[in-house]
Amino acid sequence: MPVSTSGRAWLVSVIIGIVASSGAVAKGRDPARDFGCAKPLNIAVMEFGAMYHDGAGVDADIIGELMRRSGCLFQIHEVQRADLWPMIEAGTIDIATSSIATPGREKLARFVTYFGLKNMLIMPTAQAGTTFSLDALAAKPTWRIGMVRGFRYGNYYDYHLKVLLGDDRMVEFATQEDLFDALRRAEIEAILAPSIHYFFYLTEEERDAFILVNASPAPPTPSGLALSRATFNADQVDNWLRLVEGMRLDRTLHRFAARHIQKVAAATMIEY
Amino acid sequence: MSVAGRLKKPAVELPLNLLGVIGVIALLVVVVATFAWHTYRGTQDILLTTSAETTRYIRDTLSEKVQRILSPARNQITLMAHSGLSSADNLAQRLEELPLIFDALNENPVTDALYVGYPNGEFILFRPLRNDDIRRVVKAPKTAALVVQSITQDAVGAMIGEYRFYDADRKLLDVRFRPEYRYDPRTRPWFQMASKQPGTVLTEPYVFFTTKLAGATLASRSADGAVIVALDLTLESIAAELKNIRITPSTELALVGRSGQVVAYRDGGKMTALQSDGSLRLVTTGELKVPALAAASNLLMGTKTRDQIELDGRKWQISTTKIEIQGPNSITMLIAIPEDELFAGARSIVENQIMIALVILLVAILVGWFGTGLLVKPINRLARETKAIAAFDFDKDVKVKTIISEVGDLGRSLSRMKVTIRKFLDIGHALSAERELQPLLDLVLRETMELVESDGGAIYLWHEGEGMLHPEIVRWHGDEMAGPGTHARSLPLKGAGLLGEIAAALNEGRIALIERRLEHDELEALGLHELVEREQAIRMALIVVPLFNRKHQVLGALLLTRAIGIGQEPWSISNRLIELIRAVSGSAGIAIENKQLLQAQKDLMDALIKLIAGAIDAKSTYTGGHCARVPALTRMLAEATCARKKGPFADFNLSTEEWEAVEIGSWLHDCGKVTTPEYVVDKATKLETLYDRIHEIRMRFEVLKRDAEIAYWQGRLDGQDESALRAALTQSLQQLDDDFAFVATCNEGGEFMEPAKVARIEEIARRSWRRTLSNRVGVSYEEKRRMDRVPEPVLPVDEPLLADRDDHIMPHEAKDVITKDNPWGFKLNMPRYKMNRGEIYNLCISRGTLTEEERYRINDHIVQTIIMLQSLPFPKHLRAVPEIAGGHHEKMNGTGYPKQLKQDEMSPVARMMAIADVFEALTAADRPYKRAKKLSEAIKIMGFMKKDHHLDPDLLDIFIEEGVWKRYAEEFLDPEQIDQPDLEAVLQTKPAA
Repeated sequence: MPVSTSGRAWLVSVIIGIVASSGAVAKGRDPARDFGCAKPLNIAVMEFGAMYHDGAGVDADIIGELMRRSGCLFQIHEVQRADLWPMIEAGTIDIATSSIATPGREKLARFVTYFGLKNMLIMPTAQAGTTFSLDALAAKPTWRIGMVRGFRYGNYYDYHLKVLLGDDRMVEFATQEDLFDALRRAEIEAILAPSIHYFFYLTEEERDAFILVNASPAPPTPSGLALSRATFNADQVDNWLRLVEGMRLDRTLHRFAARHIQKVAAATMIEY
Repeated sequence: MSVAGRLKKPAVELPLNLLGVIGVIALLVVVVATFAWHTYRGTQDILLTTSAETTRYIRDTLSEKVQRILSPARNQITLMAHSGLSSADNLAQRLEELPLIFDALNENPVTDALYVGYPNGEFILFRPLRNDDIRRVVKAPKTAALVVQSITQDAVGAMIGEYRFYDADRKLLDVRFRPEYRYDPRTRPWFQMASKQPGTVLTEPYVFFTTKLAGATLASRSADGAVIVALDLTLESIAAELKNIRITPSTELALVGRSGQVVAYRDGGKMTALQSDGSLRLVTTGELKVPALAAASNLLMGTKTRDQIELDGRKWQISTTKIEIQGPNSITMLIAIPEDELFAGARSIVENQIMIALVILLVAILVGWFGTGLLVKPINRLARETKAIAAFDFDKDVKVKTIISEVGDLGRSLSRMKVTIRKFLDIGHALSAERELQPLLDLVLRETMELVESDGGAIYLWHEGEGMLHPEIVRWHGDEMAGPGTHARSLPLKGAGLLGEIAAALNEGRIALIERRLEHDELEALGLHELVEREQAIRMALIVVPLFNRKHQVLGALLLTRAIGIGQEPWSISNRLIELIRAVSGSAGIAIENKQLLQAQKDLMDALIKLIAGAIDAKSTYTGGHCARVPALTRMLAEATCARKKGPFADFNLSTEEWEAVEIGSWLHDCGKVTTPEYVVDKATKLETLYDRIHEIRMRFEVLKRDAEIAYWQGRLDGQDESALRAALTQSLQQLDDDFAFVATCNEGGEFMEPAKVARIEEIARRSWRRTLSNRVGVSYEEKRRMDRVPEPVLPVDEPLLADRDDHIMPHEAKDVITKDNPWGFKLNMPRYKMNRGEIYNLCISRGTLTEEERYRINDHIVQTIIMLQSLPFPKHLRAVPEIAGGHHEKMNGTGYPKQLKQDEMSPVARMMAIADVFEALTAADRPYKRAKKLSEAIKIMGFMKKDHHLDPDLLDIFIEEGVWKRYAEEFLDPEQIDQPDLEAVLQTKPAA
């Protein structure tokens, strides 16, 4: 499984990690003991719009902050989403950002959630009408729905899409950008993506042509750090949790989100 | 017993209203007292039963409540046992269950806390922060809704105590490290109990450390058996339930656990006691300081579950009941109810009942008063009516307005009785009041027809001589019948068919109802044929009612008929009606017989009166008819006066009875004439007595003429000068003839006897004649006695040719003398003698033929009339007869006779009689001394009499104006007498002042 890395990203992350670890680690803490970072930790980032794109985004900020607070060194790897879990299983990745827990993944990792992502349908405005639901989607047999390979949308979508559309009407793309490009090209009629992507991947002009439709009653899907069980024990995960809780309580998370995401979407994402 | 005794009122009589009200009160008091007592006892029993039921109900309710608490708690704990909490080996993963915990705690408010104990000593507890007290205890932020208390092991095995606070939106508010927070679940009873036992376990109630609330812990092993999940259940809701359960205001209720600790009580503050270590524990019932509950808890040591105790003079019903919870776990409910409050309901019910009864009583008294008033009012009215009937007062109808049918029936019966009696009395009164037979019969018929509501009816009277029933009166629909075909026929009391049935009914004396289709002949026999056809009747119904006299002999029959048309019901006559008809017909029969008898007597009396009048008229050929004409004329004048609508007699009228008096009075006005000697009444010449004495006188003249001739011849024999003798004879004879002629003329009485004539009579009288025979032999005793009043002269005796001798004078007999103070009020100038038959005296009567004595005798007839009539026993309505009959010679100015009455002292009818008597006398052609006058003369004379105020001027005017004179003249006078009188002159004549 190829590991795709970006030199610029590495550079940024190492710098951040050094700056952070040098000033922010609490006294009496032993990062190797408490956070399981006797060696630099391999942390995976994935193209995810505002969360991470081209070495920047909320996740990038969080990684930097985690390095600072934990005192650990991170080796940041940009990976394809579909490649992530085999890499964790293989022990090449210790931590992943913006991950959703599933029973299968939980065998490989423990999760510390920091955001809730609301997946929504994005489709041409002309097609949507005033209201739109998954049932309406199902009633249009020629419609195809685009999604990113390896991305889990949460139980609600997972079940409904499976039941309503079947595999032949679901078209998978490698990246979010590919997905949006296909939508622009009208290769697909709708895509399913976190709402933050609508604002990230579509220009303001394009947002007039496409509409964001909340087709799910499900709450936002918790998304956060996936900590490899092979690397971290339960006590260390609890400490990672306490770091994230600290970032939440001191509104660091809010600031990061506000930096990259529209204000309304940011609040919803954090206070999921 | 006397009538007064029988009708005596009892000592005590109460009005029905009062009796009704007393009855209502008595009844209500008995009913209410009985019901109140039974209700009180019954309600007591019911309340005791109800309290037991309530206790069971509360027990069941609490039991259910406990189960409602336990059941979801068990479910929760089961879910928790299978949740990620049990398998989570790190805090982050445990906190992932927060959404589940949030929802579970929201759903079950009795869950005080939810926690998991891990075998390594880790612990996580989720506690909802439901109020500020708890938030204060855990020092939570104000908006915190949940605290997560966790004990986790760090990398070196040290336990880290942390509190995490979340708001209601599950937003993390704060994370606090609590180094002092030390808690090893493995040491806790719940952990140990659950570790030892499979399934869920429930601890004894205790006071929760953090919230200071009483409750119990439910615990269970996780599904994989690794951890113990538990939750704290508060009993707060059960205590709240107890607060809501108040059987009575002072009822005490508590739940106690197995160890006797109070688990739930309405005042939660009393439930706990501070222990030496600062913690709280649950108190016992004894510590609760509620004696009644303490007494109830004592029952737990015995076998009784219910008892009655008395505390400080107050009686309590105490009881215990066990509430099963789970397995060996149970709690006991203690109840203590004060009896005064428990039975307050019963007392209240009874008091309410008594109050309601009092209200009902008040209403019942009013309703009873007015209700009995409904009964009493008509009854009182009926009583008054009955009294009125008893007093024969039938003026008003019996109108009883009532809604009570029996009283209504009584009223109607009384009304019918009243109508019947009144009808019967009316009929009886009418029968007795009716003077004439024909109206009487009509009355009987009409009343009877009205009684039976017949269409028609007839009364037949039995004519013995003819052997027939003659119809006297026939009516159809209230009208008297006339016209062909509708006249009833005379019926023989024999024959077949209908006549036979009628005859049989009369002979058997029964009332018969005959209703059938009558044959033509039968209808014809009754004269009903045309009537039946006219009424389009298919049959006739007849009621035959015999009429009897006192001897129960058939007097006649009453026939009542009704025409029955097509579809009409038969004539239904009730026995009551039959009896009424019988009573009416009985009275009618007697009345008819009375009337017939009266009529017969009246007819007889009329006949007698007319007989007397006829006899009087027959006494004199000259005055014959006077007694018959005067009544006719009087009636004419009286009728005219009655008809008069103006003047002083406009209001004058005569009743039937007065008419009868007029009739009798006028017929008998001259009845006294029976005492007047006929020769006086009809004395045509002055010398007439029983015969005309002119003949005796003439014989004397004849004697004297013979004497003259004898003297001639004696002279011749004596040789006297024959010529002288002849001359003397001739002169004597001539003188005698002349004298006799003069005397005869005087005797006729047609001329006034002037003094010269009287002197000549006296001169003639002085001539004598010789009587040689005794005049006292061959005469009546009376005459001889009269003559013997003077000695008889020696015969021969020369007697005057005309003489007034002593025996010519008849003195009054004592019985004839009417003194001035006579009882009749006569004012008479009696002549000296009763009769003076003196020849000279009579011949010298200046006018007419009657001497003063004879005139007195004639006038005496009116005196005799009055005396005779006043001696008659006239019935009251005829008492005026003497006055009417005896006044016709009175003059209105008081100069008449015999009483010299003035106008205003006489009745109008008497004054009419005077006019009638005068007019009849003036126009009569039957006077011996004058011829009949013509109308004009008679009326002229009456005009003079008006002027002289001899006659009533107003009545005379009526006599003239109303043409009474004319009608009389046309009926009674010789046509030659009838001429045109000067009426206006009479009318214009005014009486002298």
